[in-house]
Amino acid sequence: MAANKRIMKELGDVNTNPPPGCKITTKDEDIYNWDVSMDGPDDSIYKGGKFTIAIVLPKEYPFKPPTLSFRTKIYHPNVTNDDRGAMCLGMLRAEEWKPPNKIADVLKLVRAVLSAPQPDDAVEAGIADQFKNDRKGFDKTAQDWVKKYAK
Amino acid sequence: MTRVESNVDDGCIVCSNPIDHASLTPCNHRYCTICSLRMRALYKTKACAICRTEAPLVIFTDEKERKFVEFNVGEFYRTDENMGIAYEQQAIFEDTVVLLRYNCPDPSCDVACLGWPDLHRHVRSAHQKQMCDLCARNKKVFTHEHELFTQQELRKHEKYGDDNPGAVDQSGFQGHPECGFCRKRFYGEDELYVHCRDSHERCHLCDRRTGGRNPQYYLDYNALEQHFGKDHFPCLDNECLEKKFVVFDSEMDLKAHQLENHPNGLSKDARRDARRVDLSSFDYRPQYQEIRRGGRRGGRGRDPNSDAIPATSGAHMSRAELVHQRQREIQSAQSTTPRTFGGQLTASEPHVQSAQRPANAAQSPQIRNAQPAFPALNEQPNTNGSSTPRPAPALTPAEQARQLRHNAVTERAAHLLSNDEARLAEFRSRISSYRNGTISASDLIDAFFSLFDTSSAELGKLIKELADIFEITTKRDALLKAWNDWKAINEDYPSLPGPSGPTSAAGALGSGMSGSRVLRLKSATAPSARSTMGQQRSWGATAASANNPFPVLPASNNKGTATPAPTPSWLALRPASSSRPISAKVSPAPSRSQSSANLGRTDAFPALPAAAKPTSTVFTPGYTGAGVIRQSVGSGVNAWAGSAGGGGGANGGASSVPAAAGDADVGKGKGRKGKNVVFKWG
Repeated sequence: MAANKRIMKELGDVNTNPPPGCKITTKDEDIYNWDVSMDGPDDSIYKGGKFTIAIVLPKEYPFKPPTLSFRTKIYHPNVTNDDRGAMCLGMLRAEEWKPPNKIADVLKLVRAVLSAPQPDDAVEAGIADQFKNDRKGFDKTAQDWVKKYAK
Repeated sequence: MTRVESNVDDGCIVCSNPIDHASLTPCNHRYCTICSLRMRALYKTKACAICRTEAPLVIFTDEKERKFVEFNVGEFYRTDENMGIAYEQQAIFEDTVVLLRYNCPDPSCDVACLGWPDLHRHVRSAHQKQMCDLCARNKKVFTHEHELFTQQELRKHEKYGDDNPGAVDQSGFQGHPECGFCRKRFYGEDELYVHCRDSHERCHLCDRRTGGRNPQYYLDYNALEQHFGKDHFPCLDNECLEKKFVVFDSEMDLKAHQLENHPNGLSKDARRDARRVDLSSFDYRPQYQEIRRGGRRGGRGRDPNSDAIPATSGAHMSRAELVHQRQREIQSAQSTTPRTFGGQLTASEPHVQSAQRPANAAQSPQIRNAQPAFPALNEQPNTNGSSTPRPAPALTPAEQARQLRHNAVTERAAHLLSNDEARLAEFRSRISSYRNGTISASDLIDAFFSLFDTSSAELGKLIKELADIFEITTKRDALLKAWNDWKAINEDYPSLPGPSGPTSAAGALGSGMSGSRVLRLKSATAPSARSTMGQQRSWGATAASANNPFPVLPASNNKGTATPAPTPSWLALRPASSSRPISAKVSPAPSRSQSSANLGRTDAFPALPAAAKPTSTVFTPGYTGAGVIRQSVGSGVNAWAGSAGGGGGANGGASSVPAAAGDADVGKGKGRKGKNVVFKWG
């Protein structure tokens, strides 16, 4: 299938040239389930944390976007604060996804969003409000969570 | 984060396969035509894959550098308005449209089928395999990319998926989820969700608690009611019960509701009961239902027989009344006839009988219809339909009614066949074969589809009318059942769009398309590298050009194929009209003339024997083959073989014989070389 070759190519690319701060493995050799271990970007409040992100590629990949979820709890307006830890990025929406987008691009975007949360595009309104109005409180909780969960 | 420029040399940016032909968008992005076609035809989006700009027209080209605006309309070999694709060269067009056929998924099989039912039948009979129906309906892949399963494999596929982690061909597929209530499987979680949302119930209170995540469904209102009784606090007031679900999250809320809305409505007893509910073992529902059934409803004195009375009312009529009523029905049916069937009158005898006399078949329906009562009408043209149809006086009313129904069927058939008497005769003989038990009901329906060049809705009307006139109940039921089966299999399938307009794809592909091209293109979308079959290409192209774009029709076209061209049928799931040029070629000596014509222009293959394969020239007079494309020479598994006259198997022979011979000569060693394809949209 078309997707297969594409995915294999992407896997090869990220293994030889991984996106900064990311380590990518596939779950049980299943190329449709990627496990990413991402270091919190140095320029962000998540510095020092180690986040596990699960990426699931749909059968229709690359014509349908992958889904991305934080397995490590993270205090961030763009990540759902539940056991799924779903992260919804603009480019991952079905209507905005472009087939040539690569997982490596997605991961780069994830890092950018960790560094600069997008409260206007938030999935957790409460956290977004705090981010906008009480930046200090937000930073503190986020760093507490990093210590608590992401070590 | 977004790569904008594609690197053509590096393979397609979307699928990573080497680019055979490039699809060029107005935004000057290039990616492979297969990905482009996939998006346009299967995902139904015309957005550019790279920048998502809407691209009403893309150019399928082999040019590597030219910009979109540098192409002139006149340069294109063909433009498909429907999908918005301009083909720069003929070879690209052929490579593209072959992907949209109902190709058999078997990697070594080059059969293209008429449509999904035909394909299902083909894989069953030719490969002893099955396809997953859910995948066929929902999976957005080209037909040949579907998978074939044995019975066990299919069950495993549905239940667990056929993911094979670590293998090259892993699919990531985990099985089709099943609705626990209905025991019915759905293609994916989304489809299951829609089903559950529409067919089952959710508890809004639990949803509120969990925020709608991890939804819990209940089979129906009764199950939901039980759940309310068990886990929540429904108001037990009769009015509230009638309203269906005045229910609360806590006892406090319930009490507040009761005090507010039923301050006096509750009896003392009920109020006391409400206070005494033991929350830990709140199992109120069964008791409640007893009350309802035995007490309130029953007390209202609903007459258990009240339903039965209308049903038995007919029994009170006397025999004479019944006869009278029936006669009146017949008369009213008669009086409407000229209006309803304003055209000519057709066979006034039961046409299953007439079909048994093929010698009569050549007579026009106009002549036949007038036989019993008005022989003089023979000379009259179609206008004789305006005269009142007065059946022969000897007929009883029942017979008259039957005759009218027969007329209606024949009328409709004649209309659908554009009064082509040869095909009408074929129609009759099919029905009589069915009546005699020579062919099965599904065979009959298949035959209709090859015979009638019309939409399934029109054909459905005909089949229903036809079923009405079968006096043998089993035959009637079998026919209706077969029709319903056909519809069930057929009508929900996604349709593959074809090139728009009157471009005769059959002309370009039907005769010229060699099997090797199909297989080569199949391999192009396969995970492995291109096969060496690409070298067969020159043969395919040559043959195609010999027939292109519109084959010259032999003068022996005496079959009345002057049928008005039907509406563009590319999207309809039925045998379409595109093979008409081919069907027109089916003349009494079809394969010989056709093959020699073809070979004369095919330099690559010297002196093939002009004689066609004997079995492929079977020809049913009057059969114009509007629908059937597959022939299976000498193959016992041909689903069409059972049809009377073998018309199905024969018609394709005319144009496909050269290709068969060609394959054999090329020495591909295919044991099934006789099997060939006349391209068919539908």
